[in-house]
Amino acid sequence: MSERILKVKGLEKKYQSKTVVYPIDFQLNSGEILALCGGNGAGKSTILKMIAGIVEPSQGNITIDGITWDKNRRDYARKIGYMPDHFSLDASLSVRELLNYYAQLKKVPKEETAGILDRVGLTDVQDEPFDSLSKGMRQRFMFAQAMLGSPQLLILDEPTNGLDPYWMKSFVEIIQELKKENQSIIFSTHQLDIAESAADQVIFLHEGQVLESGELDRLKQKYNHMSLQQMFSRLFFRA
Amino acid sequence: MDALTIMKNEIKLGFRNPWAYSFLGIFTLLSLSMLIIQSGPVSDLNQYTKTTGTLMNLILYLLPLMTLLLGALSITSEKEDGRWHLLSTYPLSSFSFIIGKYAGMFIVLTAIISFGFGLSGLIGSFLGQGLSLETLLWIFVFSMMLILLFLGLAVWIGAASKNRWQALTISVGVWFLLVLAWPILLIAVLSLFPYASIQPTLEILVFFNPAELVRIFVTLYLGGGHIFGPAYYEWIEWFHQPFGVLFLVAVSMLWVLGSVGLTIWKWERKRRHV
Amino acid sequence: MYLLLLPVDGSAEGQNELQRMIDEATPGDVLTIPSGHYTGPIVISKPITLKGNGEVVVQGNNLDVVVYIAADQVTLEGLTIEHQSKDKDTMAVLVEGDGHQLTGLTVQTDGYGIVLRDAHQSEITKNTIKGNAENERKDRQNGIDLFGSHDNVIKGNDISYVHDGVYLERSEDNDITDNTVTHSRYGYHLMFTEGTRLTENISEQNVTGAMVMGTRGTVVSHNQFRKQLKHVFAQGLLLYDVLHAEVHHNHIHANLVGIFIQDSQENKIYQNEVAANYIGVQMLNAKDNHIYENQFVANVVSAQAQHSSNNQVKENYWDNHMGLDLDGDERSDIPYRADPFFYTIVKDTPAFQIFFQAPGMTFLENILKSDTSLWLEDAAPRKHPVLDMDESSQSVSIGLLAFSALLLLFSMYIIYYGGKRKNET
Repeated sequence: MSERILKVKGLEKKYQSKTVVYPIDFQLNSGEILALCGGNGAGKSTILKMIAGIVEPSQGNITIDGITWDKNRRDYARKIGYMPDHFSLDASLSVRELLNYYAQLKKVPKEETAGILDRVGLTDVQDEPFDSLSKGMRQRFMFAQAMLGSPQLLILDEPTNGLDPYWMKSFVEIIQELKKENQSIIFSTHQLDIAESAADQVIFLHEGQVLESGELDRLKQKYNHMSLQQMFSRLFFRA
Repeated sequence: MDALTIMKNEIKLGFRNPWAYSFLGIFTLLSLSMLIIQSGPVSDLNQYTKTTGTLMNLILYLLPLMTLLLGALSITSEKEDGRWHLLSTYPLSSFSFIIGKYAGMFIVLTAIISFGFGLSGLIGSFLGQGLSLETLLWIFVFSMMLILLFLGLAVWIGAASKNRWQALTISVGVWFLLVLAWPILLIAVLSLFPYASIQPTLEILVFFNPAELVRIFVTLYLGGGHIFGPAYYEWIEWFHQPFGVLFLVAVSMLWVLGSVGLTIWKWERKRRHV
Repeated sequence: MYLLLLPVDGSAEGQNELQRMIDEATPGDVLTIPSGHYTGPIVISKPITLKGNGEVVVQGNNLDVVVYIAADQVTLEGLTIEHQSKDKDTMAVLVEGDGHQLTGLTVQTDGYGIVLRDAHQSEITKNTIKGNAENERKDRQNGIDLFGSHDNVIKGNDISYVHDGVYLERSEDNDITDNTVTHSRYGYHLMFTEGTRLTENISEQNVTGAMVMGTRGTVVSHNQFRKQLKHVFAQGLLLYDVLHAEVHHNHIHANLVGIFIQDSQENKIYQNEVAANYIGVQMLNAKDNHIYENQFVANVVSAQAQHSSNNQVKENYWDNHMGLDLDGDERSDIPYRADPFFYTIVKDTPAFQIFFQAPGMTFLENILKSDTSLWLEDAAPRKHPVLDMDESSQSVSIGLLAFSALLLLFSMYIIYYGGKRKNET
């Protein structure tokens, strides 16, 4: 039933002589959630950008559902939904206008947008201009646009940044639902409790290098059922 | 299809942008001035009159600058604000994106000048102030051509600039060079050239400056070509032939296609080089 | 004069019929010529009157002269003269002697129209002279051509498609009035004449309306010089090496250059209306001229001048002048000055004329104000127009209205489409 959605092999990123991401391999099956954990400068964002096709890898390759970016970027792009961590949208448009615009570009019927807005709880503010939204609401909006068209792989960069506790909980619920719908998700976070409550696989990163990785259950066993927070502290000081 | 979506969005954004309204205001004031310029006895032989001459002059100061700023900043901000970042994860080609932006901004700018000319023309036709349909039509065509050519240049500047500040500086610089400094620069430089080479050089350089290209050729087809003097007699006669007209259309198209094409190429090259 | 007699395709009787009538007439006779086609050449060597009765056509095919007047007191009236020739230096009518009257003639010529040589006190009136429109201007000759001919009246003639409409050389005290010249090189061309009165004429669509060169005491008044545009040297009125001319009450409209004054002195130029020309007045090495009470309106550039600071220029109306009248005398206290900057550059290198009205050029002129003492200056320009402009009737143009409304609707739609936030799903 579960098939390989994402294959990352020997992925590396260098800027001039500085290596930001050391060669890394991982895979993700359909209906699985992977959390990239680490602090600032760990390389999480760069890995996600490479997967999203924004940043060109220095080495290695990425396959999504059997397709590489170089081979067919249009089909590649259809298989993903990306949520960036830094953004500034056209503030003068209303939430709905903006989402409709993105839906059109993804060839998603307009009717679908209402459901997605509802899912992230933005129905009440759909006619407000985007710049009147709070940080958390904007974050939810970005999540919404990534979900458009139910892509096979969601790439979420710090999705819970700025969310209040209620929506943090909702976020976990939503991605659990998406998982049930057989969508795969890869997200980065520095909030390890989120990773712990949502992820199937975890990769700990520090300065571009993998400290530890594996299925959450296996890691729990290996580290005597420590919390991810504790696990990370230990790994971090060892590194 | 994607280009159409981008274009529509661009039009929406254009008219929610305070810049658009300030340009609209300035341009309307400028075009109202055509009601004040005394036109005098009108000749059916030519449309190049004080009204058209003065208006062309005023429009040349303003419209290229407006177009460059609006176009370049709009493209650069896509990059700087990360909107393009997000869009580049979409199944959307650089081609559709740039074409859509170009078309959208062209419509926004056309709407701005249409408002100014429409209002002035309406007032003019009630005042019976000697403003003729031909004058308005030609000035409109003149302005559209300026927008078409300068917008190409603008998107290229936008794509080549790293940030808004750079885009602004380059836009103003290009405007200054092409509109204000051009004659004095050429006069100063060409005076060092052998005398016989001055005119051929000028004739060729006309095609490298969209402001001069549009100004000289609209003057020509307004019937004012002889004002450029005996030196250009044959040159002007040549451009009055069908082949000459065709040549000019081709050069203008080359400008638009070239600059937009280069922009797409540049944009595409930078797509994955962040 | 040596005349070529070539056979023409007319009938044998027609060929010599007219000449036979003339030969048989006695001085003072009035001959009424029955309508019909006659062939030239015709030579009139006694004072008689020829009147056409109906359509009287005198044809000449490749003749040097079709009708030759070689006596005094000859009157020609109501004849048509058709002069076909491969040689442009041949003539339809050649006039010598004094006191003639040529009136109501229709001349169609491949060469000269009516030529006066040492012919005086004659009247050339109400004739229509047409050159060959298919030939280029340089391959045509003058409509009415005077050399060494004095005290003539040239009035009410209609001349088109010739080289120069009315050409005068070394002729004195001629009256040229109420004529119209179109589609030719120069409308009126005076060379080394004295006391010519050029009044109430019209010149349209020629290279130059009136070319006045090397003359003394010319009067140019109440003429209309219009639409001299379609040539790189086009101008309404040119004064070159002209002394003591009076130029006044002319309407000089829609020419490439309205008035061009070069190397001319002590002329009075006043109360002319110079309007809608590309360049209103251009002056080069002109001095001691009095230029006053003229009206310069709607010219793309009002005035250009070089080496012309020593003229009396005052009380003209310049519509592009931002005047200021503090003492209420209707004269601006700020003088009007014509910037020679561009003119000077172009005089040195004509190729730079391509920058005519370039925004960078006007910008430059405004920031580089050189020594203004050498500029053409009107010390007290008028605040208001001197003469009433005869504006062509300005009715509401439906086309303009419709186009403007269309533009406005389009922009409103786009602004509404873009600016309005849609709240409906």
